[in-house]
Amino acid sequence: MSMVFVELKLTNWIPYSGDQNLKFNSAHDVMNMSMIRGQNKGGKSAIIRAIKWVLYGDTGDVSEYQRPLELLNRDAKNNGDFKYSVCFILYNEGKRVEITRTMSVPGGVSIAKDTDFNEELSIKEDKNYIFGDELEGYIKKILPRDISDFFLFDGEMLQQYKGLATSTTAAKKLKIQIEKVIKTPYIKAARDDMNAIKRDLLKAVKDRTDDKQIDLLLTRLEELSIKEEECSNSLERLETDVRTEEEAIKKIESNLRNHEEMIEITKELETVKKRVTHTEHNVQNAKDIMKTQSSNAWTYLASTLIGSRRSDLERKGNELSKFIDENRTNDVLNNLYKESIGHCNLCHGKLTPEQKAHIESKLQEYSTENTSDAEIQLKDIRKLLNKISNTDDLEMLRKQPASYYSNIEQLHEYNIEIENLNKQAKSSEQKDIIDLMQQKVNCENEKKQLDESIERIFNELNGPEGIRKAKKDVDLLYSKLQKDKPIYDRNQSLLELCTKVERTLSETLENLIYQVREEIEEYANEMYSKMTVESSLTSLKINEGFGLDVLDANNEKITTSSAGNQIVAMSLLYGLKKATGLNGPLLIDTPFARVDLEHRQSMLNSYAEMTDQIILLVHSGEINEGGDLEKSIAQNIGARYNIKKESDTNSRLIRI
Amino acid sequence: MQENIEGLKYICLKLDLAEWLDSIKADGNLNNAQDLIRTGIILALKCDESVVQNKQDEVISRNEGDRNYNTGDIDLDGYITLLMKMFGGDLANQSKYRMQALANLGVEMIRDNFYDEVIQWDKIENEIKKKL
Repeated sequence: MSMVFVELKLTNWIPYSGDQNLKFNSAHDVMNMSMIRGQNKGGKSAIIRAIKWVLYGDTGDVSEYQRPLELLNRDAKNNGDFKYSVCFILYNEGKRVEITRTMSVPGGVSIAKDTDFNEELSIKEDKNYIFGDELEGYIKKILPRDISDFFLFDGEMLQQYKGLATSTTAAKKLKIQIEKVIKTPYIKAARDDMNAIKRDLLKAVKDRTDDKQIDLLLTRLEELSIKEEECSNSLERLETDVRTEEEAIKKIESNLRNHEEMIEITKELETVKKRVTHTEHNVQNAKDIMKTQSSNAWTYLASTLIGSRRSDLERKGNELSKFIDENRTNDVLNNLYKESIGHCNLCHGKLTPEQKAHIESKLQEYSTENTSDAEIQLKDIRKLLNKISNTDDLEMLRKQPASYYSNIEQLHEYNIEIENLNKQAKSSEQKDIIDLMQQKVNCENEKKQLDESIERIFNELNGPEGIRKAKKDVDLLYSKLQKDKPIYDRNQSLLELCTKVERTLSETLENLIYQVREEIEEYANEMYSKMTVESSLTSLKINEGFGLDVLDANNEKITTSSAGNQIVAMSLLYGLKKATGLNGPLLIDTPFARVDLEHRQSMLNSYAEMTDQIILLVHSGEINEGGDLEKSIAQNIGARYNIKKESDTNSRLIRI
Repeated sequence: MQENIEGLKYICLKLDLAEWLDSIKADGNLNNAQDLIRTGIILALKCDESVVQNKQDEVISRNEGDRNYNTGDIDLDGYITLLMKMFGGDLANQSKYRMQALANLGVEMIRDNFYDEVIQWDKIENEIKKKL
């Protein structure tokens, strides 16, 4: 295939008011790169949509940019100009092809509705116009929609190419992609036709046979064929559903990109809200500690009070102790005197009345002090002194208020931040983003379920114990039984022929795919080594089940980063194109969406070598205007455009 | 602050103070109101005699909603009474009425000077130490 994109002419197309032209660089030249730079929502994706629309009649979007009034530029619509068109000029196999698709309303319509628009397609090959039924067929011939993904794609969606081969289900998709490119659908269609004929013949032969064994085999074959058809139909339906989900996800991601600034704000809001939760937890924690500790705080404070007079209390305690002790001696003497009953306790001599009076007067003198008050006082002092705490029980309570206030202050700041972020964010837009994110999750879940169903049915059909294997076995058995028997029926001989042809077609299919698999792997590795920055010895391997693995130097499977995934994807794409002869242009929207700076350079260098013509739709965040990245490929850039967004409804393509 | 009731089995806090204690307990700042009443008494022990006396002379009225707190719950093992005895100045003047006055005075001091969303225990400690 030899194809070069030459020019794209847009009239009143989405953000482009009036006529706008985009001339791509000429291919087969060193300067084979065109770079169109624009801000997000400026009109980059409208270019890829224009090419898809002019070729296939729709933009490839699922939920928007489908209705005429969504595609018509709003300024034009407001001015009553209801005509929009896209003209795409390209060279195909050396012939100049001009494809123009126009939508317009009949004269006299002042307020156009979607249903008022008439579509017109014209194709001119060199100087000849293509007419009528040949128009759509012509496009299918030069660039079938099935393989347009190999020419026109969204950088964000590159991950899907990596995903093509990283699971069993996805590996099957890779196989399907390869089949599409090497035109196996035609062989498959022939095989399916042959299958249908075979089923009719089986029925006819079965109706006429008397042989019970053969009848049994034919019944089984018939059953298997029906099951095979059912499974194939289910697979087809499910694959269509998966494509719908993938398109929906793509659309959602594209919409989310349109809310980039808002997403940043939303993310920031989420972060601040998380901080708020954390800080609120700290506040609560401080309060809980203060609450728990408050029960014993008073004892510590009382202890402080007592501690301040500790020495006084101790001194007083000692005095009281001494006093009580002294008075206790007096008690003993008093008791002794009472017990002596007028006799001396030492010499046992009888005391004279004078001696008795003297002793009683002395005892009276010593016992004037009452010890009971002193004992109470001493008990109180000891009780207080025992309450003096040796540990700092207020330590936690002393710190917590400061921690509490600091966290409260932090919370206040966060709330101001949230308020400011909320002011920046339109709540309606925030709701849109949340809705979009939820929709994406739903689509991804739906797709996952569909993929699982596909895998199950695929195994049921093609697995080692699958329907096709069973059918093949029954076929062989049937052939064996028939071998020695004379063919007495025309249908029977046709049935044999059908079986042989069907088998040949199936084998051809398998062989073709496996041959091309090796070539894809070889080319993919060639590109992979060029794009990989790290001097590692990693390589790509497409295994027999069409799964794609990234291997290290020891042939062990490894996982790759986001940038790595994009490199794998681009390498695989290159391998697919190269091995299958799809040497056409490559138009990539947002090529470095998930790639770091270092890998951008290596990928950019490789793009120039990857194909004869490359068109990049970039935003300034990806390749800075006049930056090192752009300078490094300056010699390859043949055409440079800036998309100048003059208003929400008008962007202009400016060649620089 | 005296009222003609039986010898104080209860001490009574002014309604606004009792309500404030309820609110800080509800805010999760406190386990028991009694804990802060004890702290209040300790804090008020170092106040001037005249200030305490003025507080003791204020009218307290259960009919107006001033609220009773069981002295047994506050002065569990006679510790508070003992503290009052040892640090409350004129021993002869110590009574449950005195305790009531100290409680009202101390809780009021905490509310007005040592509370800002949370109880500022560090400042209460400093205040007590300042008067030592």
